[in-house]
Amino acid sequence: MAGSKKVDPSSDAELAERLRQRDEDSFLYLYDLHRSTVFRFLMHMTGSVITAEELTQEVFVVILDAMCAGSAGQFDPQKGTWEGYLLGIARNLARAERRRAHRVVSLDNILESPEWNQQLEDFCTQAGHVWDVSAFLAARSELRALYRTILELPGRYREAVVLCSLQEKSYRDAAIILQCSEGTVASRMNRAKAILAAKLRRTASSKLNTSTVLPRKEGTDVRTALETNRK
Amino acid sequence: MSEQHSKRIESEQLSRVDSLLGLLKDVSQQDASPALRERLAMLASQRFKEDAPRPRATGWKELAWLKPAFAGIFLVAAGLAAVLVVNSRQHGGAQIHGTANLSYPATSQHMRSQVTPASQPVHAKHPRLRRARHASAKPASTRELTMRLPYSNGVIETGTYTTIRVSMSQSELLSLGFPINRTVQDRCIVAELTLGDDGLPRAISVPLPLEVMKEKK
Repeated sequence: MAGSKKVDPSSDAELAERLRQRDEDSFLYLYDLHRSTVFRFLMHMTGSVITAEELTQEVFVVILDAMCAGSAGQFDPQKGTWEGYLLGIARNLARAERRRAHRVVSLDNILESPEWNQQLEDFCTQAGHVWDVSAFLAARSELRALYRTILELPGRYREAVVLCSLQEKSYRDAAIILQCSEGTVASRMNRAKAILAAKLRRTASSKLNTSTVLPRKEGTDVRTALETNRK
Repeated sequence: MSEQHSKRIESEQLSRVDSLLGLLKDVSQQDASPALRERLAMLASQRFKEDAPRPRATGWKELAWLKPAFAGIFLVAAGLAAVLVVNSRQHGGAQIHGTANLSYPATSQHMRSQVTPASQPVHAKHPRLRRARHASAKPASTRELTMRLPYSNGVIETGTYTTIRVSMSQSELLSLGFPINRTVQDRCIVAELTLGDDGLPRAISVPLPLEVMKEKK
């Protein structure tokens, strides 16, 4: 919330009222509160950091347009939360983007970015695991395969996985965002996990057939291994 | 036995997927760049400044200021259409009353246009001319054949026109392209000469039916 004044509406309804009154600080408060959720959802749905940033901006421009018209868009505090409303807009934009682009999603933006590797390394360090290079690379390879598989899932399954597994939404919240029943969300999750498991199994078996054994470098730290791998 | 084995493998794979998803969640904690916040803040302040005093109108309300312009364009178009309709009717009448068996000179085709009737006609009395008895009164019909003169400059707008009634020989009228019976060319016919304010003749009109004048001997 850096940069914004003290704006702390007690409820979504109050925030909506302030937005109707074209309060700029309330707009920035809303952005600060939900930007991460919206951005990560879009990042996982599009597979591109740049596209996710663009669409995140579009989501909040929709709110800005509504504010300029003296309303809070179609947000109704009786029906849901601001987070759900924003994710609904993000979901529609991601779908439109996918239809518009109509291309194979490139994952290089995320999986090859230094931030990704850095976060993976930090996570391993914080988790206290004693990772050697091969284990680290194997984990990274597995995560990459998983992410590719998630992005290849049909839209309805991908939405469920991104919301429930990657963003830790409850089935109830996900059901509100996806406008379906909790049972449907649970069903989609089970189906999505089964697809993921099957595809990962196929990927692993194909790798076994064509794998080359990496030379194990004893005593090499993770950072050095990453540098080597990038080269 | 093999069924149990496959189920066990399946559940292991599912738990592996769960753990990988958890790892993926922890790893992908990226956030939008701070520049995005700055952009949005700038955009918000700009938008609120632009239409600060009034709530932003949407749709057709934004185009409300165009209404007078649309009305003006509509009126001009309606006026032009009315003028065209009137002119075409006059033109049609002239063609009906003109002599059909006469051919037009080649140069006169592009000259056949209509000129607005004079607002304040001035009747000049030619000393040598005497009107025939039947021509003393102006005919009731207002139809006329009008010919723009070739040396008139239509570009110059003088605002008003003056009409002078003159007598012209039929051969002269024929040479100008009027569709008049060419079998009798020696008689004179009353015509109306339209002068611009610059003194230049703009057009010659021949009222229908033709008024024949007799020249004093």
